[in-house]
Amino acid sequence: MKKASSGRRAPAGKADKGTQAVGLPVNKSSLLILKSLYSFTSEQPSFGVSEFAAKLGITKNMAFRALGTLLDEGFVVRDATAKRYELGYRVLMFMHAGSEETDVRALCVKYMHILQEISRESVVFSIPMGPNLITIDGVEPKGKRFLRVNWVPVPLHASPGSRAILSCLHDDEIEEYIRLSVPLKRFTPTTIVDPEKLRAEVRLVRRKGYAIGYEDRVVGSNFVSFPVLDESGRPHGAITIGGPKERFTKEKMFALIPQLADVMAELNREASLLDASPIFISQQTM
Amino acid sequence: MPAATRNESSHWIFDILELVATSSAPPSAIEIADRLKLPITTTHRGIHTLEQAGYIAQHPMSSRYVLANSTKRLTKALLARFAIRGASLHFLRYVAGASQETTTLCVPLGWYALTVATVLGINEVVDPAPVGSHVALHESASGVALLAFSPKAKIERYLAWVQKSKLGKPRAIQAAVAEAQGQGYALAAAESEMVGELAVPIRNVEGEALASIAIRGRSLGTKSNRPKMLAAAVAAARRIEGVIQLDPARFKNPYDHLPPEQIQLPGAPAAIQRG
Repeated sequence: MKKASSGRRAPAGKADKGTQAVGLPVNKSSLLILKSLYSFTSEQPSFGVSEFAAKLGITKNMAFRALGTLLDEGFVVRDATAKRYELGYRVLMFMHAGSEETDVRALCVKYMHILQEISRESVVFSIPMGPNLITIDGVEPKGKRFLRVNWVPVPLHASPGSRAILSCLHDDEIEEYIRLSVPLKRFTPTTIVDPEKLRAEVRLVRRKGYAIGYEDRVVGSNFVSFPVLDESGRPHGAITIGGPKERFTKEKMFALIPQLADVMAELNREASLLDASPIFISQQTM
Repeated sequence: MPAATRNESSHWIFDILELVATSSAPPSAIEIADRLKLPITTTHRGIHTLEQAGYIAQHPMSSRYVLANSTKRLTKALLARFAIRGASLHFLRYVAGASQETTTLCVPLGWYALTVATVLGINEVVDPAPVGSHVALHESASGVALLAFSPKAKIERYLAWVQKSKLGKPRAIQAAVAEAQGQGYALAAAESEMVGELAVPIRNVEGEALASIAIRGRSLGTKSNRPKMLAAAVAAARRIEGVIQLDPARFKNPYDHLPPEQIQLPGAPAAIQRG
């Protein structure tokens, strides 16, 4: 790995071929090479030379030179066949600054405090694990972080947090969940146990962007849940806001939803930079 | 790669990029020029090129330069190369909740243990082990858990590298490796400071470690806390191993084909880089 102080020198005071004559100058060939690295994504992690040329709309010779420079700098490596190029580990230097949130849980905590300030109610963050939802973090109505969180797994059809997540899964995953879970467990008289009603609820949540509770898991409280999503719309988890129905009335909850949704949109802009974990419906929760 | 195919005029621009990326405080154009011994006009051209390419940006409150947000797309793509990370995240969150301590996932990269996921617990964060941080394998419990469950020839090769690089005492490393092999996990507990790290390997069907889950925090310093934490980490590791068995090829380390000695990571000490 080359160090910053390697002493490589640019020609002093001499403009490169690609330098623009007017305005702020750029080095055009370097610009092309630098931009080309962004072609390597989670979706397309490797390229052959021809493929790279086609992707960038440049000649094969230019693509070969660009990949050669990126290889020399350690930003790409050859794969095991030595025929294709993959993103190299030197990209790690972009993590060196290290202040960014790299886990969705840490990211959610700051937004949970904002949601608590708006609602003055409990706010919890839950994640899907196998066919269940588990609450892993929370902020109390008075703004303190929960010291202990209830780890009881809740099936994905019961509670608004579960349904906020379920609604973000693919239809075939939802069908797999129903197939593996019928008869759907009843917790209260209002738990949705009819698969057809559950499908209708999924459509409703998808349309509205949030799920509300029907006292279908916990009696005596009102809850609203929003999904936390990655770039492709896969759920990281769900944030649920709620409290006793005498205090957090339905009227109050519905009046607050637009404001809460704005905060969630901001959170989801940041959460989209992180990939959601795969969900294995058939896997047992620990 | 033959030298003729390289773009030699790009090197100094990558030097500017590395300086901005790894500086402890955002540098100004003058500081960049000074530290890289570049003419100021050349430095400005390099900075502008990097800005145009979406790698760096001027700090909103000053004339200093920081990494642009779009570089996160590259780090995201790099982390996604380690499929085991995606499959492990939910389990890490579960372990962090059960232990209330910071939980990490490390993978081997060359002779280093690279942290690819960190989930904070709700206890005081003692050592967050940020994503992207890396240490030589014997320097953390996470690394020892990886090393201990590597093929014998690889362990010997590592010990030779350590000796050559003067990074540690091979005998002490061998003892730590043997202990981890015997108990199935690695523990680094500094009793006096009440800070510790407990790491459990995640292994493929051949028994080789692909990654390690580690719990890090003060509460590990108390012996009575350890069985519960170990149980949570082991349970998570076994679940992840179950997922790996469904599609072993997908979870192969993407840099396994490269000789470990050639893998030099950003920010590694000079002594290690010479190794």
